[in-house]
Amino acid sequence: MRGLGVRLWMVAVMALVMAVGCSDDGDGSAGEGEGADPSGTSDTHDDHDMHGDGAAGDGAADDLHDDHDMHATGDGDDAAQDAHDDHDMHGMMHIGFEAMVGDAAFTCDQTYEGLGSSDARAEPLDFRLYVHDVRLLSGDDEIPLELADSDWQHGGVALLDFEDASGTCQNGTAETNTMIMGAAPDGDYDGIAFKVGVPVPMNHDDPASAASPMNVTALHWNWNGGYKFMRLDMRVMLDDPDTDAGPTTPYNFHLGSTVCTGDAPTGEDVSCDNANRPEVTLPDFDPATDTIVLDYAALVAGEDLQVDEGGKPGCMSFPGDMDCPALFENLGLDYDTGEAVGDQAVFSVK
Amino acid sequence: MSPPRHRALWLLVLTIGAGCSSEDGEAHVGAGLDESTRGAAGQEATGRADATPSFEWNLPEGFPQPHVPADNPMSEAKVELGRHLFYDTRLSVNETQSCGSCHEQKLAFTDGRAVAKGATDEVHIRSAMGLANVAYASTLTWANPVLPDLERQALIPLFGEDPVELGMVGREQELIDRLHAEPLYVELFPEAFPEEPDEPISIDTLTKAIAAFERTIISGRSRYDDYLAGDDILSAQELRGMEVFFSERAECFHCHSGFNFSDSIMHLGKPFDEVAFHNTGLYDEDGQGAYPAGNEGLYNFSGEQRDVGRFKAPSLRNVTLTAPYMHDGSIETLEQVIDHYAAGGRAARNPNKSEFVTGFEISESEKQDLIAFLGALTDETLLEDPRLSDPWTAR
Repeated sequence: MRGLGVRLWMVAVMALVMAVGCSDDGDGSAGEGEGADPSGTSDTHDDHDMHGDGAAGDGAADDLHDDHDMHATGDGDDAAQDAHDDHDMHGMMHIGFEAMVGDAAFTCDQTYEGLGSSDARAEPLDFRLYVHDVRLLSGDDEIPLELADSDWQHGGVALLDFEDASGTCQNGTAETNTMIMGAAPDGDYDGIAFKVGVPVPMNHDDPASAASPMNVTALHWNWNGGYKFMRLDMRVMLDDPDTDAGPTTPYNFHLGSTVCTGDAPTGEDVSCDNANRPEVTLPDFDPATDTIVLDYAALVAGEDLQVDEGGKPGCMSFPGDMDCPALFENLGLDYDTGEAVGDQAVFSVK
Repeated sequence: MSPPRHRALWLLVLTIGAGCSSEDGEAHVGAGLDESTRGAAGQEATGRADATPSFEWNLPEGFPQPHVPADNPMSEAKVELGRHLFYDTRLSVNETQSCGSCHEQKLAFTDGRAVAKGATDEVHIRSAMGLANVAYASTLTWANPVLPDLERQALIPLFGEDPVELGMVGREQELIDRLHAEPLYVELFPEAFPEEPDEPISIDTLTKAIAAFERTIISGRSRYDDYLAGDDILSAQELRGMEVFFSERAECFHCHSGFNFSDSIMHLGKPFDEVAFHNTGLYDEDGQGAYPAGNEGLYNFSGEQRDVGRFKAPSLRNVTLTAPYMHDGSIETLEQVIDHYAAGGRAARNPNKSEFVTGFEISESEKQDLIAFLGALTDETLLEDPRLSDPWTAR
């Protein structure tokens, strides 16, 4: 019995290794015939390290290993989607997210009011973000939630996507994702923590050859900047229509690393002075019953969405864009250094 | 451990193994991968998700593999047949035009005209789009959200009546007869479509072969690509232009993004097709966003007011060669295009205008830098590749 279990565990690990390799194949097949670095950059050593760590794979394998009592209910099917029903596989859990705009649920066919310091009216254009380094809290302990690779998760990074390409979210994707899924030991968890964004080792890889969800064109910023950690775009109705620009103005929020040096396209290591990765810690969070709320109204609290205070309309995370400081403060980021320093006010427990 | 548990674990293992190529769930991806081989896919140590393993794509470095419809797998024979058909003027009513007439290789598969002109001299309302990298396009033509594959697209120039392009509407049998009369086709069609022994020459196989050929028109060997591969090949001016291109100030890359410089992209390994249309402030005829009637972009499909003037952002690869610009060829030079965007659009108050077309300051020298960088996107190998050339002229 035990022997069979071990053998099956080995098979599972092998399959997972293959699966990870396979998800890499977007790259592998791309380079086919060239025999060269498929990513087009030599930045892939970092990428491989990520796979080597196998954050998701190892976790899932451990889970299988431990799971001698797994019921034969076919839970493996579409595991990422069926997470809700997945109590049979102990250790796998999902964390639900909700997007809100003040008191209202986020949808793409609604105009929101009372936003920012000028009580602006706005309609959404985009609402997506990456999160990583998810940890469950148990007293003073932090236990990593090992994210399972899927279309929505790769290498420990998850894409949360609240737009469905309907209504005013015209250029999005039809698919949405409002949860993250991963493995953790059974335990009494009383909180959760995570970072917003894409971690350094993956942030400057070539998105053309990256695995989903790291190959969403709309979320890649540029070579040196890497990914847009958050893309929350709105169209704001002006109280006093501008004579040049008309009755509305965009208010785009693109959070990402800035002040980057190095040359990512040619594979140089890139270093960004301003990391701009918010750290979110939510005590009093029960993973079994609670969800995490992301509130756009809280993000733009104190900011005048109708007045462009420099740079492009909205906040593009760069130094000198005076549309940024309020949003950064709300995310617990120091705008000058990009460090996560303070309490954030954008994410909460429901 | 009971057998059912055993099976469940295997199922889980195989599901996870196949999960990496989850795009196979889509009909247009699973070419050559039926259920029995899909399980085996997880056992391939290389994890190759190649839908048509026998076909050598010869892709540029870093390029992902294109989607191929399940019912039209790639083959050398099919591509070669498609190349002959693409350049065959017998596909037009008066035998004057082929696909290649409006998609010339030396112009990166455009025609150099503001708007295209069909076999009967009827003028199209839009500019012929370049075909380079069309295999990666998640939507085809300038603004058609419901035309996902090249097989169906080929029917439009062949049989469309408004405008007439190749003008073969109602002449399907004549077209088939013409193909039967060509000895080379009698040879090539059965080679390309061994699964159609009874009727290898048909409209269906014709469009499939042309589509397969079009998927091989791949452009990724420009000087910019050499630079990405590590060659210190770009001039200082081109590098300065690249900075401008990828800057938040100019915003070029928000819509012309990714390896194909377009934000409407699909390929293997990418489960979420991205489809985007943008209003770039070209017109505002009534102060409410009106575009010239009948040429209103996505609106002509959706009927939604906010979709008036929304068109696809075409790839900028080889853009130096594809003038004039915009869906209606209404801007002649790249310099004027940059001026257009710097002004926030020539109809800057258009209420449907993209949130990324807000205007920017750019100096004359920066403009020249940007134009120089765009020139580095020209792929000379594309223009000369004999595998993409007209086979009839060589005969």
